[in-house]
Amino acid sequence: MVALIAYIADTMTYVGIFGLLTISLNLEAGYTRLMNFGKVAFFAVGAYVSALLTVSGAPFLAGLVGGMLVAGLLGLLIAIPTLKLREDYLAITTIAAAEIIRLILLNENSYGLGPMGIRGIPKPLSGLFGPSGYPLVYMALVWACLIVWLLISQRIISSPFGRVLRAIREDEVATESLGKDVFLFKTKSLVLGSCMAGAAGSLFAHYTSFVSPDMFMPLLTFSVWTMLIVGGTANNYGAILGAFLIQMFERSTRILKDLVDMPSGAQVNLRWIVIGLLMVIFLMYKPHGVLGERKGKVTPR
Amino acid sequence: MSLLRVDGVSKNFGGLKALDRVSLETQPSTIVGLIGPNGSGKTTLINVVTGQYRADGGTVLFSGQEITDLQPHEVATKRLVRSFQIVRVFPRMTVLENMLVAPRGQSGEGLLSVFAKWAKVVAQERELVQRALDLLRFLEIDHLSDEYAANLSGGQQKLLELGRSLMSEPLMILLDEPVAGVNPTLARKIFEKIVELRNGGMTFLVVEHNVDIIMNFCENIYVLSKGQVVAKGTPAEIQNDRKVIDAYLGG
Repeated sequence: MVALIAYIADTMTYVGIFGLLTISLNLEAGYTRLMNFGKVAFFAVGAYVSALLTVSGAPFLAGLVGGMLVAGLLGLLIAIPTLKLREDYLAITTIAAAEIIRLILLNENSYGLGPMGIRGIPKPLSGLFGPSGYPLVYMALVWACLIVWLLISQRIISSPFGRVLRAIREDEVATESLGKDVFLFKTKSLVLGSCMAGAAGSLFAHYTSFVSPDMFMPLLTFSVWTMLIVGGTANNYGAILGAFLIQMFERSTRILKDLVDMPSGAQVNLRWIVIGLLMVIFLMYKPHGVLGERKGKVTPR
Repeated sequence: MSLLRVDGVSKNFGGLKALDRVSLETQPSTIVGLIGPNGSGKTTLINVVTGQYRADGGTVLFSGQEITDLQPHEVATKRLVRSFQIVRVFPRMTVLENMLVAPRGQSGEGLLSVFAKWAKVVAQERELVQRALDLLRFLEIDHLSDEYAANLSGGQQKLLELGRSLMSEPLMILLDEPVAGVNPTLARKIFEKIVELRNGGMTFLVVEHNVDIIMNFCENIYVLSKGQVVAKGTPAEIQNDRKVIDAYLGG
């Protein structure tokens, strides 16, 4: 019973972390059509900054905020040269940036970086709760963070600011010709999305209490994209639902290994094949996902 | 004083002189027509004036200020806006939302106000919704306010684009073929609305191929051919101009 609760808590913690990552991608891609194919970089930066800060003695909250800020800064750094270009350039630049970040984390040997990763990242509040109750506590912490960011995100989307983002998604030239500084709006969207991804990274690091460069492979980006596409682009509840569905799927394939005999490695590869297939099927037959965008309601009527 | 003044503007695409020292001016509260064969540079001129293209020579003045090298969004904030030859509405946004994107200086476009001054944002939004609905009523598409823009007919989308321009409270609108592909009744109606707006003080530069409409509704007409202004004058003068008849009107 305790094991089952711990398992459910563990699952929901991951759903929360990936849900946060998916709504951050949704702000960028679903609402602003910023094709960020380097999501994992911002996640990794959040995780590493938070890990490094707390390992050297800073409190968890400082790690979380630090991770968000540095990830946001990385977003700004990428925004400045690329957001004036056509959308496909952002896709290419972000893939490259994500790999550069990962290779730096892998090959840099000072500051405690390198292939061995960082161990012993403190678990916040673990002193106050026993090991049996802790998974539930951490799950609650993750979901509290998710809900805060969800509320922030919903407010942004329902505001005139969010309306401009959606207009940019629909037609950049027309938005510009109405006097909106498209570059500035896109930059803000990317920086906000990056902060959110940084928060998710920090929550991830403090949960696993260990991070290493091979946790942040490009595949993770595509996993988040699949969550968004399956759950529903331009709908934050859809994004969280997508994170839940894909997490469930990934976990069920882990259990499948015990039931069906297959060569080692086949199960992991099979999982990615099915995820890729799911993405294609949804893009072809249900491009807006399980929950698509709802018709925009104007706040006061 | 003229509201828009284009002075010797040139634009080259490789070896092609799309605009060759074009000069043009519009008085406030008038409708000026811009006609000419396909490829004569009409849309290019609009693109240069509104900052989509950078001029290779010449100056553009609006309300006495130079706007030659401004970005498109900066030109729009000077209250000079445009419509597009092929409509550019926001398809997966409702008609009302399309209208609400346009107004300048919305406090809710700043992230700080979105969190710190939400009440103010909502109050401003309420006023803008009212104005948008009034304008939609004026354009006779208010019954479609909650429809996705994508679901509107071509003519209705043209009206929506006009309405969206009006929401930004412009001094002048550049209309690139506002009634192309629109049936004659609706086309006439659109121009009657334009005249009404002109009477209210607004200024228009209209690119249009429908000669009847141009002759009926414009005070002044410029004729472009191969990137040059070949004639200008009142509709009566233009109709009797030999060069214009040869280059464009035929007959």
